[in-house]
Amino acid sequence: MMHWGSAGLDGKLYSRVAVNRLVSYLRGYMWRIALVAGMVVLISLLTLSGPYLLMIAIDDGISQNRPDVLTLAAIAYPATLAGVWLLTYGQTYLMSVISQRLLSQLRLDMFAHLQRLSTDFFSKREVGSLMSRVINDIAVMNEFLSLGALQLFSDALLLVAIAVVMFALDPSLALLIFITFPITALATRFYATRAHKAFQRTRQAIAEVNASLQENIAGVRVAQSFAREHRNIAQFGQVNDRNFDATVHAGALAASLTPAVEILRAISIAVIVVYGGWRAIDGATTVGVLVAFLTYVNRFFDPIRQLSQWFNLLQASMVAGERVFELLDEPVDIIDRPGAIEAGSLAGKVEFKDVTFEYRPGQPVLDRVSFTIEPGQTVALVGPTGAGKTTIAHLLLRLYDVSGGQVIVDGRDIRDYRQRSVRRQMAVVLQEPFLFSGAVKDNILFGRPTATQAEVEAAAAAVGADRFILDMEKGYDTEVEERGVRLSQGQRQLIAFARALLADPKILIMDEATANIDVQTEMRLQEAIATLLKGRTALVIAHRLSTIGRADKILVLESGRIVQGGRHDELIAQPGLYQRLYSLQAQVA
Amino acid sequence: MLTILRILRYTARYWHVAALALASLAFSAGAAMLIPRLLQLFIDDGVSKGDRGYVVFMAGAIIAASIVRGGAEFARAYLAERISQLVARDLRNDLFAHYQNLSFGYHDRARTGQLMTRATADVESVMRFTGMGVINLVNIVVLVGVTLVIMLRVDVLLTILALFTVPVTGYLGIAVGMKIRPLFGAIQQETAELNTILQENLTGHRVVRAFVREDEEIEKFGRRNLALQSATIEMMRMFASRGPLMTAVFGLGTVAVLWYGGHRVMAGELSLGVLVAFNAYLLTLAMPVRIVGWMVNMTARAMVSGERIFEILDAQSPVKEKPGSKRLGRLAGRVEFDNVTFVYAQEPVLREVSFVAEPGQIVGILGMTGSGKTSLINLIPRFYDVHTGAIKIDGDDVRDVQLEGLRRQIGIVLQDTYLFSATIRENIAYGRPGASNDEIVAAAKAAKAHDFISAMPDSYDTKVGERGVTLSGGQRQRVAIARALLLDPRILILDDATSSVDAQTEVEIQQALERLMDGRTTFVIAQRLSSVRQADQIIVLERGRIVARGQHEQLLRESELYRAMLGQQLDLAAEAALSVVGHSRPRVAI
Repeated sequence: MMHWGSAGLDGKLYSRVAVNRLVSYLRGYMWRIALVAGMVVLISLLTLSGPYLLMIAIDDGISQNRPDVLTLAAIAYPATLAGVWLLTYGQTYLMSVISQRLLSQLRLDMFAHLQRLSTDFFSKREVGSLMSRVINDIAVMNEFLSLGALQLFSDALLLVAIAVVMFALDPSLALLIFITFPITALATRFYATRAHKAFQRTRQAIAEVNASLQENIAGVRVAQSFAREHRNIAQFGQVNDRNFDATVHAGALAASLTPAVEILRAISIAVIVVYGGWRAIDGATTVGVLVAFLTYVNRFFDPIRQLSQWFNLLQASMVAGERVFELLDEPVDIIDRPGAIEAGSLAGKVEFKDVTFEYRPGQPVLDRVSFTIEPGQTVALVGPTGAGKTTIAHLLLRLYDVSGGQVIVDGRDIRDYRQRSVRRQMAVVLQEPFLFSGAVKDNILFGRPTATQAEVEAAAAAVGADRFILDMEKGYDTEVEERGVRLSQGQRQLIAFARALLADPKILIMDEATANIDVQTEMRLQEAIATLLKGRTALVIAHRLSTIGRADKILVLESGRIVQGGRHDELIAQPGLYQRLYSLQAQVA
Repeated sequence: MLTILRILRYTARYWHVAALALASLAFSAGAAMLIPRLLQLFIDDGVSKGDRGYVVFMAGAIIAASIVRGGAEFARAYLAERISQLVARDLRNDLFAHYQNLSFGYHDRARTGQLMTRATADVESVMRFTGMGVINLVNIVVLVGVTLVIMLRVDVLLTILALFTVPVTGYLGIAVGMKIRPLFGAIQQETAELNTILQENLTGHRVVRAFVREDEEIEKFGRRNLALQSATIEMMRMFASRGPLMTAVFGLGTVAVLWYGGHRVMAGELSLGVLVAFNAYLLTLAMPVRIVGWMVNMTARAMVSGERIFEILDAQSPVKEKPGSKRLGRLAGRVEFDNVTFVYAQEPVLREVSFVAEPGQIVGILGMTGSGKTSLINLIPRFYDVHTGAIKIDGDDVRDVQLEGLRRQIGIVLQDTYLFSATIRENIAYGRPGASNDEIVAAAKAAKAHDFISAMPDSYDTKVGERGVTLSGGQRQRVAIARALLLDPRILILDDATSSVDAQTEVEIQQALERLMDGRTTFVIAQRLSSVRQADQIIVLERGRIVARGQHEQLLRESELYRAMLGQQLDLAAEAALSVVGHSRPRVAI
């Protein structure tokens, strides 16, 4: 498998993958594309008929002194103009419908695919550079598809037409033109090896700009706290400069095509001038043919010149396409097994059996961890930071798959269920509650979108969030802003509780959920937590003993292993890590 | 129009590049016109006179002229690309710098995706205008001017007839420009919305997974995506109908010339050659008309995007350094809140808060969720401005001093630990990029982060992913503490900094912090008794007001709220002490 981000680095001019995939997306639009192609041909014909009508008007009308022919031509000419207008309109409109539908389908497919990729995928990539693929790379393809593709087609058509006329006029002279073809081939190869890499670099560079933007906007509060603005600005300047360099370099390569075409044109004309001039002097051809031929050679290179200009766009969108499809082809690593079953209503029994897990090979974060949570039980995980507590929560949610052993829910390996059917019966409250921009209500509804307003309010009231919500100017409709910055951390946490409560899960996971809440609120929350825990299986990660005291079982984790387990009063009585932590906390308190 | 002028001002910085591009344009046009003349000479003086040597000479001359033309065209294309990229780079740098300097108040309301779109998609549309637009404009003006002069010299009446459509095409051009503007504005807006949804979704992917909300998210994205699709099609349709219409209307001029001129030729008032030549000139004007159509489109877009960009560049940060602000020397660290009221989103968050923290004091801040604790400490480094009242540091109002000097002496550990995608070393040295390795390690040791960092595969050079996902919550918090300590700040602010570390680590950090607090003014927001017990003064907030103030013992006696807030912990502490000593069975009251 190719390394991520290396798409297109092989320096090919034509990306089979990108083109094939794009063609498969175009399959549904075949008749429309045929229609557009037909229109292009008609437009070319109508455009050519304009000069022809002029010729008739002059030769048969004015020269023959026949006003009627002139008038006829003067009427026919606007008709061709109108025809060209209407057809161009139809063609452009149709093409934009095709390309916009195609591109928005690609965007949606990418978004949907991103929804299936695992936490592991996201932990290795910057959000900003992923966004760049969905937005910026598609924008590049848009430019090519909605503008370049048609032009490319009609230019190619024109090229063929002129070649045909030239052969009809004088085959031997026409053949001479083709002596420039080996040069063209060489030049193309020279260009190709460089251009693709250059455009690849531009796409990467803009993705880096995007990533830097995203991160620095998201982290602007830290930057200001540390008076780091100047240095960040300088650093962004460097990323921005790299993008500038890459783009200008690609632009220079692109611009170099024009002189190449000019020189090819000059060589062809020179060849005809010498050979044709010779033959004309010998009387083997007429001056008229020579003049006509020179005109055609000139015009022959016009579309080539045009083509070379669209070529850049083609290259850029080829690379963009590869990046898009690279993302779409990123294998989903946590997938439902064939024959995975739909989890019915779960009882909520959870069992970890010899579970080993490593984020990086050779560095186990969990080492043969085994425990059982009976339905309705609350199990608390305690232990030093980095002992692997959150990892256990992630494995239960199946955000990652185990490296060894099994996570068993209601007697079945969690991998035997359709993942979403299990996850739908779980809810989680994280230490750093993530809220989405939108109303308070929407954030609570996140747990169960179909819930009624009354249910939302009941959930908020149950966790004691109703008071501050109603205090805000629009109550439940108050906008919380991005990541919930409008609210204090504790308030965000309460909303996260309401969200979990509304989800009415069978299995509840709380990862340091009360760390940011003041003690008094927490005490009030205890009642809510008691409601929340009733009849549910719960896995609670906490440092505060006040939170874990009610647990049916406490597991003490150290360096990825369970070193102690039991009830609070049992653990406190035996010498060990728990007793040490507990006495320390008492000291701290 | 003002927007276009401002964009042009960005271009004007690189007037020499633009001048070179125009010079290349002149060269390539000159060479292009030379070639037909050479061909004519080749026929007339070479072929017709049977001069073979002249024929070969002409072939060489044509190649030479083409090389000049090609070279000049390369230069023009390259320089055009360069100037547009220069403008794009400058706009992006300016936007970024502005984002960095806008205050918390602005960023609280702004959407990351929105801000990103302006620095990418909008910059790009302005860039296209400066590159192709400006140079094409000169090109067209020259071409049209020269052609018009020639046409007028040939026949004035025919010229007027030929150009009778100009008002109509002109009107069409302006009309399409006006119509494209709102349509393109809608496209940029929808792009920004899409970016926002995407950004939030990717940042919060774990919550989306955990609550199985993928389908709804896809639907939400799909709705916006569809809106963007229709907006784009709508604009393309507008452009597709009006652009070619302009060409068609302009073509009517040819008909008029032909019909009227033809009759004059037949009447013997005009030579056929003149009519043919005239028509040829008119045809050379058709290309500029097509390009004008494009330019109208491009200009309209640049105006929309320019407005969106300048809207941000013109946004005044509510927190602004006054001109002539005082440069702070090393602070003693006296912090005074003088009758401070702070309003956020039209709600008073702090009301008439007054207190003084003497240099070296530890101030504990206590209060329920939403009581204004974080707002209070956010005012000290002037992340927000007070509504009324003043905050004075060493006697200076924070609004009268330079921000950088102020913030550099304040070390802050925020509740929401944000780490950047960089190495741990770079994250710790975030506030002091020049710090030595020893200093970084010392800070990490003080924050009890050294051991876990050393245990990592690349030690201090371990990359932490975006938002530091590879570290646990407690580890991130310790890196953030090390980051603040490295600043060697005069004022230290800890916003619940040890909430997610285990008791053992907390004790260790606590001890380290105690040493570090020595000689610094420290503000500690904490839920825990331990953090506030050693404070020189404790401020208890309730709904934005100070309801109690004093030392631990004093508040225990006097403040019911204080006792209520700590009560549970007091019991627990007593029990724990008992149970550890006596191994008795405690009854945990929850």
